[in-house]
Amino acid sequence: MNRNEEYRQLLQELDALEAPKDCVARAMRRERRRKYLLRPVISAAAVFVLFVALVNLSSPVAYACSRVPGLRELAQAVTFSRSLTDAVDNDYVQPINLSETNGDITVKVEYLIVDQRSVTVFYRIESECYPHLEVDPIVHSADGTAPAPCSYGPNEWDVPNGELRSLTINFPYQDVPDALQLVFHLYDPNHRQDEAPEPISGSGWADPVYDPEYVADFTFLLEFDPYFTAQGKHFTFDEPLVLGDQTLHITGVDVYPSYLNLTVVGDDNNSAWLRSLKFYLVTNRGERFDMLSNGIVATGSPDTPEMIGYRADSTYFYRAKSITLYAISAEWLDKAHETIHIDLNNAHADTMPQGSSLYSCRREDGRWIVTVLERSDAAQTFMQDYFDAEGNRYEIHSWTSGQYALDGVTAPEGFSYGSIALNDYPYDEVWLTPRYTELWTAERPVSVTLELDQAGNHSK
Amino acid sequence: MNWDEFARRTEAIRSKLYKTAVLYLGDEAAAEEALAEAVYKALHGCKKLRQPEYFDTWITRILLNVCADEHRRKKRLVELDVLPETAAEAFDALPLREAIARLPQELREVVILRYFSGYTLHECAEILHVPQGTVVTRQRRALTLLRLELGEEGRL
Repeated sequence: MNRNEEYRQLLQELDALEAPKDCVARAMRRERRRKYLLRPVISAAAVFVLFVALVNLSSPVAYACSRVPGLRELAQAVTFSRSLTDAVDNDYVQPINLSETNGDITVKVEYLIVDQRSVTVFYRIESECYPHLEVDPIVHSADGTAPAPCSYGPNEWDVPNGELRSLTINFPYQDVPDALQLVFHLYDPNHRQDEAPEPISGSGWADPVYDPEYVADFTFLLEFDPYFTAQGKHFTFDEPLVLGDQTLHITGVDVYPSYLNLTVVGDDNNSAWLRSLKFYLVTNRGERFDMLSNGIVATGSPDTPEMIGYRADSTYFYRAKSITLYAISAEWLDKAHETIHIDLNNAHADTMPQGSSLYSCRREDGRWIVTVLERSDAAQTFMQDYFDAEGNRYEIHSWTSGQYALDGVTAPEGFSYGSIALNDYPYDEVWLTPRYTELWTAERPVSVTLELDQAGNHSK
Repeated sequence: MNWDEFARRTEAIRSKLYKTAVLYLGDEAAAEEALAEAVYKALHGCKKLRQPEYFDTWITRILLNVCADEHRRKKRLVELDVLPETAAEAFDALPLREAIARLPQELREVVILRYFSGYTLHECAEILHVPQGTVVTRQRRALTLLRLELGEEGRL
């Protein structure tokens, strides 16, 4: 075969290849996640809050809200949350008709779903000039002088102008105040920012900058009906729950209309901190409630690495006399291995979190890139902090995760390669902070029943 | 450029981009990753593209940058030496696909873009940010090394 015949054959081979079809959709999902994670999230407490961002892609609505015609659209806007759907179904809604116009743009805040610990704001944007506008929200105290001690974020993206959209404001560590100031900075996601068609180069480790140009700002004072901000019931317990070698104590259940919070604490004799817990709840009437998968799903202890608060869909409107918790799995952090030593030159770790292994350590452009083979179903293996031999603290600013290692090797099924960059790190050893070290999975769910109206418990 | 337009334009050129990456990296899995990375970078930067008529050459340039980065990474890990232009006999001994992979980068890019991805001389010059005359010179040198008898205007 001569070169030209080889050329024809190679052309045919290339023509027969099918290009991956999902590359645009993947890029859009990644860009949405990046934008979302860069939105302001303010928390007064310096403890870890596990926040999961899922896109509410407006799932089909089977629910028919016929009693209050005005709430039909609201019912469609809350399909991402079983608890909020139950709230709307029970007419648990505070109408609030606020409207502000700035030039061609009008923003209307129409409904609130408020309880002791959270506020969901339903609003719409109208404009003739802009086909689509997005919002950067900021939540202040009522007088506008200070950030409110809360975290918040939108519940969906890419909602067309004119349609109802929502954001949820969470107060994990204190009650919702009587009023809040909500500022909307609006921007056009399709706005072309400059003239130059610059190609993007580089290895992709740099963090992109998020700085939209705002086209208008709107400020609303949200005043909450005291009836709604009083809604929430607190039950106290000391129920032990034995998960393998470790013991938890269930110390409280908070039932709000918008979510249920389970509070646990590890036994003093445990050799490990609880880092995550998976469970579901079943009421005395057999209704099942799952853990939240969107927004704040867990909260940490201010004193230890332990994750002590776990959120599930709310039983508030079901008036359950008891709930049974079924624990399915847990992740633990060995108290003796809160950091893991890695010899970067020899790519050797003294120990690694269960289910993961150190794949490589590479020196590249003044930084180390540490690659780990990790479980696909787990969040990242290492936390943001790392330390040198003298105990100086550094922060990981970028990481990647994918099916392929940097050398092209494909991860086994159920695993992926995660790479973290230790920028400007000159040393040849490092102490990384594992998110967990051990996994526990129940052969059969471990259960405990919690009486919600027994003597000794109290409700607010 | 908004996301709908971006999706439409990328979809139209997706197959061409993928072939470019496969030939550049010699590996379909790596090409998939490179395509995904390039599309993400393009999406992230598409607001900067004021003249949509340059979309195809612009996104191809991004893909070439991603492929070049990946190629450099691979070279550090495995023996993937680029042959000098004086090593004509060594090029002869290699299968065409591998010979292309061993070309110096500036020749490899021109060959892939012109004879496999189907870009015109003018488009190649835009993608590579060089004058058309430079593209012509590079493609002649590359064709000579590969002993391919192809016209200057493109495929057979």
